[in-house]
Amino acid sequence: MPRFFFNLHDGVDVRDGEGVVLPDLNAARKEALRGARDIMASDVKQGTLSLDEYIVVVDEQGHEVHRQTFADAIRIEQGRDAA
Amino acid sequence: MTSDPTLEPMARKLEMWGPLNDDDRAAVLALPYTLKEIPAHGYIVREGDRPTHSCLLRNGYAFRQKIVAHGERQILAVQVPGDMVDLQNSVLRHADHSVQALTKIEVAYLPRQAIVDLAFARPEVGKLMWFDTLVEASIAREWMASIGRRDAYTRIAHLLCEFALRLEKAGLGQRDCYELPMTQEQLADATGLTAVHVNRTLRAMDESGYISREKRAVIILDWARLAQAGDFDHEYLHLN
Repeated sequence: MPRFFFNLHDGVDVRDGEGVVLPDLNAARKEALRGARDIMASDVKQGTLSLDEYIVVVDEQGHEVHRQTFADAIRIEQGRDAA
Repeated sequence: MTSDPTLEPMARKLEMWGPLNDDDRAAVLALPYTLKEIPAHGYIVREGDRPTHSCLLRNGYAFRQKIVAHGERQILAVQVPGDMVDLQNSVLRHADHSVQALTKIEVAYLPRQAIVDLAFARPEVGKLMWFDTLVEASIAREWMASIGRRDAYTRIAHLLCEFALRLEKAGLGQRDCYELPMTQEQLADATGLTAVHVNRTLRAMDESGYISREKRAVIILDWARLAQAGDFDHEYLHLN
């Protein structure tokens, strides 16, 4: 099974030196989405949220195979049902 | 008459909780067993099994896990060499979680009836086995508190401190330098996070100067600060 690397670009550029073994690219996309939401959820609990961050998924040859922005990872609603 | 030393790690583990006299110790070493090598990711016991044996982890590391509805895994505990991995399965009628090898492991399977018979024939041994399962429950409660109420950074710092002490007590490393044979994905499954998040958190810890990492080796540079960051108090381990 292939290994994918999930590099977080959050202004500090956290490189993934270890990667995750996953069945295929589709699974890697899901993992990137999961990771983005997990980090965002944690940040929200701390009272911050940065939609500018993104995760670049790279294969074992070093090629970018997917990119997940935090902005695309969630749907934000605002301005409805204002009392 | 020299006894078979194969189950020596079990005797030592029980002695963490109290003394064993010579006869009791010899009786532990004389338990029947079957040795088995299991490759990494292999199962020691599966959730739902009706277990016939408990198992001593002679070397290598194992973990307890459950898979929840959408296929996501929660690692419930990590077992280090010398641990009695599923002593509870000598008494409970079915396995309520799975136990898998983290690394390649060697286990000694012990027939559950033999364990129960020994525990009641020699109550001091039985009491130490009981103590062992209770400490596991204490660790599980602490993990519950971590996953329930600690943030990502604190959870991971806490885990690193816990492993440091458990491995040191098992004679497998120093509290400020040890090998952690877990991937970031496994650490994530143990802390209710994702691998990306674990990676970010470990990097932040490196930057704080609390830890240094070299492949799988974790070097704790500042115990006091890491323990504080991890909200770590060792009492739940019942080590003394």
